[in-house]
Amino acid sequence: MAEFRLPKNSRINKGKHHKANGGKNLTTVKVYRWSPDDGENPRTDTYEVDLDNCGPMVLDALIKIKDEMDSTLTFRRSCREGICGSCAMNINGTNTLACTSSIKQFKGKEVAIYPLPHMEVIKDLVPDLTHFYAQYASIKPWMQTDSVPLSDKERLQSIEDREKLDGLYECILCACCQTSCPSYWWNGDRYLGPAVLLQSYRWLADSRDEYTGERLEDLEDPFKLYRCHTIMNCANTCPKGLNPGKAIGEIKKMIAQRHAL
Amino acid sequence: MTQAYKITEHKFDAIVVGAGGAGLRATMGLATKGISTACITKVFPTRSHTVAAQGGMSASLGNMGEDNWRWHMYDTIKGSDWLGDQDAIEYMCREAVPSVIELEHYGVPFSRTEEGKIYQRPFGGMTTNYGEGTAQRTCAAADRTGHAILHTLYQQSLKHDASFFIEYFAIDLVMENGECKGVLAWNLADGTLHLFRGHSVILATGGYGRAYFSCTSAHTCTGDGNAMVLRAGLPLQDMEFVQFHPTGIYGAGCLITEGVRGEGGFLTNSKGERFMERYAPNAKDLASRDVVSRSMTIEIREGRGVGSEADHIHLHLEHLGADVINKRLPGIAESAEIFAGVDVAKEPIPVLPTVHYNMGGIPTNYHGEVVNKVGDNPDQVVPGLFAIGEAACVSVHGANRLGSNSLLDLIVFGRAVANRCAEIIKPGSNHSELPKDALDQSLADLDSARYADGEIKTADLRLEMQKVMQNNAAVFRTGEVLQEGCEKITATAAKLPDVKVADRSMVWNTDLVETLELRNLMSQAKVTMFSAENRKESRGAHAREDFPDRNDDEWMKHTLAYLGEDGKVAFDYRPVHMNTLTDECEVIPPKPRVY
Amino acid sequence: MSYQSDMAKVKGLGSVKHGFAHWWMQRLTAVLLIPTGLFVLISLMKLDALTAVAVTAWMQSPMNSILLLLFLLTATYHGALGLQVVVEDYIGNHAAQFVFQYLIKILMILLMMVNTYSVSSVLFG
Repeated sequence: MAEFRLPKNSRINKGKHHKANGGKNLTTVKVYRWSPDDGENPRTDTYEVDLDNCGPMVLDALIKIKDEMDSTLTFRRSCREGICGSCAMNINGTNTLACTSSIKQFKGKEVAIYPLPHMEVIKDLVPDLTHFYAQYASIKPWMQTDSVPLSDKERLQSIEDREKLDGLYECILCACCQTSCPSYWWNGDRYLGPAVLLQSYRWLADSRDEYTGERLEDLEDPFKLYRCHTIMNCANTCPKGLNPGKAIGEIKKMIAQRHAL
Repeated sequence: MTQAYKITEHKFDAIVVGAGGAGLRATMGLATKGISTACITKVFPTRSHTVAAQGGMSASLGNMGEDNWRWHMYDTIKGSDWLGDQDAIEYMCREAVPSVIELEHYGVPFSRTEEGKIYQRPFGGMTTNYGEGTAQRTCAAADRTGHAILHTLYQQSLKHDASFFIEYFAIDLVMENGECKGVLAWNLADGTLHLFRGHSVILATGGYGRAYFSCTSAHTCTGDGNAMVLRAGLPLQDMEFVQFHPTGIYGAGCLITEGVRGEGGFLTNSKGERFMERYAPNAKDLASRDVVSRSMTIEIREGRGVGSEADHIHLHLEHLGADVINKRLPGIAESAEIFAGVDVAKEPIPVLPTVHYNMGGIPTNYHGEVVNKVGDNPDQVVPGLFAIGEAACVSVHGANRLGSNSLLDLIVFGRAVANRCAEIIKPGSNHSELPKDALDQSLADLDSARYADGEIKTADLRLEMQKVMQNNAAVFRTGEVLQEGCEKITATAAKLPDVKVADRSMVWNTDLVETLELRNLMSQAKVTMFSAENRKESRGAHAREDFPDRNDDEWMKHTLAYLGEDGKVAFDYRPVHMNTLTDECEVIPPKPRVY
Repeated sequence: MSYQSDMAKVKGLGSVKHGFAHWWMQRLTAVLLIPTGLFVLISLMKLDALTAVAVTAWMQSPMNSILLLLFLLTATYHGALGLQVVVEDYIGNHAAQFVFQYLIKILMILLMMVNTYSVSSVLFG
């Protein structure tokens, strides 16, 4: 059920202020903090970061804060080049990857960093993604076939058919789109969400897969699929430039083709 | 001590540590064979660093012209500068073809040829007919091959209902009388400790690129498995061989695939000269990585670098045209734009040789079984312990790995280890009782790190270590610099007990994780530096200016480095396997290595 | 606290294997509303004055009445479909869902009857 205010224990308090040790080109980074250990409400800590002494990306600023100012700050990170999808977070109101998001664009402004919206928080900027991963597994995201390929030969696929997977297979499961979708906020328990539906379509679009019908049957559901109201936050926010909204549209089109209109 | 930490015990037949390409291939292989398997990983599987592999996976499919696994074998041996074990290399190159076909059947979205077959591109050091022509051998999914393969392997693991323990940090191996009995791990999400018992423990924990200041590796590449092996008193092999990738983005260190040069890209110096023509008249820009990295370093050193400080090199792909770039190298275009602010269709990318891969690691045979030298037997198997992927040193890469042989290594040996375990494990058999004090040392170490309250921040000590490695174990090495490096890294490592951890929590305490990772990196950094000082010749990626030539008489052998509890590094050696597995190919005797 | 597996939670009660009809009707009615709506709007604007007499006269042409009725019925149906989604989106409680969805359907039928009665009484009256 939609709620209009955060529950009491989730309301955000003002946190600590960490001053920079000198530096001219200072930017204020405001970060959401919450620890499961102390029973306190969440707070936002502010850190002054000297951009002259910092790498170019928001992730560099977070690492600088962790290394130099406050080692308790907790966030996920790995590849630092936008391919692993670990450091997805909400930066000044937009879900994106901290590692490919330039800090210079916020020069002179305050940068506010929160965990991905509407997810349960484990600690600081680390959201619990287990439900999202289970949803991904639920669509059977693997090749399903009845015919057996020759064991020493690849399945053939034309260049044109392979091109249909472009814009789909590149998804890094960062959950930026998933957690930007209002429909997913309200009905995330039943709606599969943009990222998972994009992955569904990746298999529907694969000329080698033989379970298109079964996949479509499983998807046709008022909640699993039709909660998408083409709000298109997903396409706006995707850090890899993909368009889950369009993929969902394609699924709806395929289902339409199955029915007598 | 043990009272303070409650430990949950899990019993499986096999435990895989790490969920990158090798770990996932092993996990799904074991799961399909009905062996109860747990895969423990400190990051969600698709976040493992295999995801960042770009160029492709080599296999002599011959889709783009004649090819033969024997040619692939020859190239790999030559690339390894004759330090690779030839039986293992034969195995890998033969198994490459069925392995890649299997991946296609699992659903990897490979790029395609006009006939609908898997697209293959040229890569460094890959030739036809024993060095004559250029082979198109590297199977590619645009320039996101690692991503495509890793996601597919995770999907297959889901299909086969493998048990995953995600965001569990492996702390130590549990050893008893030289046998591996399991792994102790820490669940970050709720802060609990878990003992995983397994008849086979398979380490697929990747490399330790983060021991260096500038590397293409992810933040998580800290070689945790290697370090656990060292702590268990076992050796690491050939740790002096660290590959510098010629084309890391200047400044950021992010990888630009060799596939760029495979598709026709080339390097230039400040004079606009294609200098690789001088160093490798035949292969030019597609010479093997150690050769290209050294050539670039010489160009920069002799004042022909580009940029205001003349400290890097240009990589051109403007001439390839928008069509090739969009079809074959879209990820590169994106990375260059984000991290170098360069439009690759118009300008060159600024690049620099950057630490990329560790040829060294846990010594194994071609089944993935960890081996140790015991008495006269250089191939004594350590029961219950296996290693695959970058963590392992099979050794198929010897002194220098060829591009696109790494994804191949992951898949072939991930598969091999699953087959091997299926042969030797009796599913469901009992686990022996462990002695009561089996975990005491590990728990004491964890506890002291958690409450560490010294003077030095983890990040500062890490930086100090990384700087030492960067400065003293670089592309070119001399005895003097290495000796200084040994002193410095010993001094840095000695500061480890004086480190400070601020977060005392057990839930997602990344402060503690980074401290444990630093402990892991430090032992490997030390072993690397000492091994480099110890090897007095130049071979593959190990280039000694004071010993510029390869010395097969004395040094055609694998270094085994042990790290004692007193922090001292001790050496032993294993012979290189100069035999093949079958009589279908011949041993390649050592020759001068020119490209 | 629930010890249900993540997969059990995600799969829930499973797919009902429909939803297309609703989605399709919503789009179909939306498309139908454009010409009928425009027709009604333009026709009314063309009247000299919006007086009861003028509108009644206009409605007494069968062509006008039929199109007007079509517009009103479509709009009601379309509105009900839309409201149904709003309730599904924002009302999580199952009992409340049930009550609201029935109210919407009853209201829709009532409105449709009123529409039909009003237009036909003018046309035939």
